[in-house]
Amino acid sequence: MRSNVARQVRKKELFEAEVLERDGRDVLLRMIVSGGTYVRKLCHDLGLVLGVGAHMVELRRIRIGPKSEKEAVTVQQLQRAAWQYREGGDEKMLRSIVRPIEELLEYIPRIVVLDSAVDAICHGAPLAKPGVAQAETRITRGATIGIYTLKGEIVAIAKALKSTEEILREGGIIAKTDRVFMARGTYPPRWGKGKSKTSQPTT
Amino acid sequence: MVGIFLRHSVSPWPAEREYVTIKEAETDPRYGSRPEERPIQDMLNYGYIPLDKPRGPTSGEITERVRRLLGVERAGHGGTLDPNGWGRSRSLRATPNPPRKRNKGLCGDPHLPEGVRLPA
Repeated sequence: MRSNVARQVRKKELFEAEVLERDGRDVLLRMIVSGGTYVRKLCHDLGLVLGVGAHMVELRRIRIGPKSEKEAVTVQQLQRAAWQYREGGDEKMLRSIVRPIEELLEYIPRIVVLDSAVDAICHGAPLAKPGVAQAETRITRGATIGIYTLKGEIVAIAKALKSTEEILREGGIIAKTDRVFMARGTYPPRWGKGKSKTSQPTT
Repeated sequence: MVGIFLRHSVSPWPAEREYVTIKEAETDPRYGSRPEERPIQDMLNYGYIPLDKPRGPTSGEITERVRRLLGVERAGHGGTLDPNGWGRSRSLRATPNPPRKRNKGLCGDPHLPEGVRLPA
């Protein structure tokens, strides 16, 4: 079978594998693999190892991270929801289908920042200690972390330069901003204005 | 060729988060919104859809359909299932700022979306 995925040596982790059904030469397998595992190639390789050869006929993805296929909607359902919203102005169905992006980042440790630090980070600035409100306890140096607002919105993904303990002990730059999600200007810019208690919108 | 070994799967996401407080603070309700209270248009620009991809069309074709359906400027999908695969391909649209660095996806699943712009 032709595919757009380049075949090359990749190191991937296979967490679980089990045979669910077997019918003659057809085998139904369930596997838990790390992201980017090319299952078609894995099936092919299994055939080589067993000395009989094997091809993948069908593939169904049943889970991605914490998201299971039970939550998935069909294209028809989405179509109906989009139609209800665009034609009737009813967003209820669409709202139940479209999920906030934050859900996909559940596995990343978080640092929660003050409103006054948000816009600077949106512009790519690194996070310094005065901007921090809370830090999760499991942060290690070099870890990928999520920078969140006090409302629980994702601002950016960053690389931690200090562990949670070091953040408590020392000041300075805590994380280097890597990838910004939030639109600039969502929160008012506060940098370079010193310690102002009043947060007047500046634009 | 694969070297096959199994490892117990441990979920990388915590059931509960433990925080230390550095500074007590409040947030101004005039800016931003809680993810679940986000206005629908923002949700479309910052959201994802767990989509059950039908057999046949490619992930790219489905993504394009979703993009038109929702009238958003750009949409993407995480995870390439080949044309005969089916299951959860996901449609994502997010990040209004053009990314300075292309996101290669974090280790493990799910992948983060490639940079996507807001409708002008």
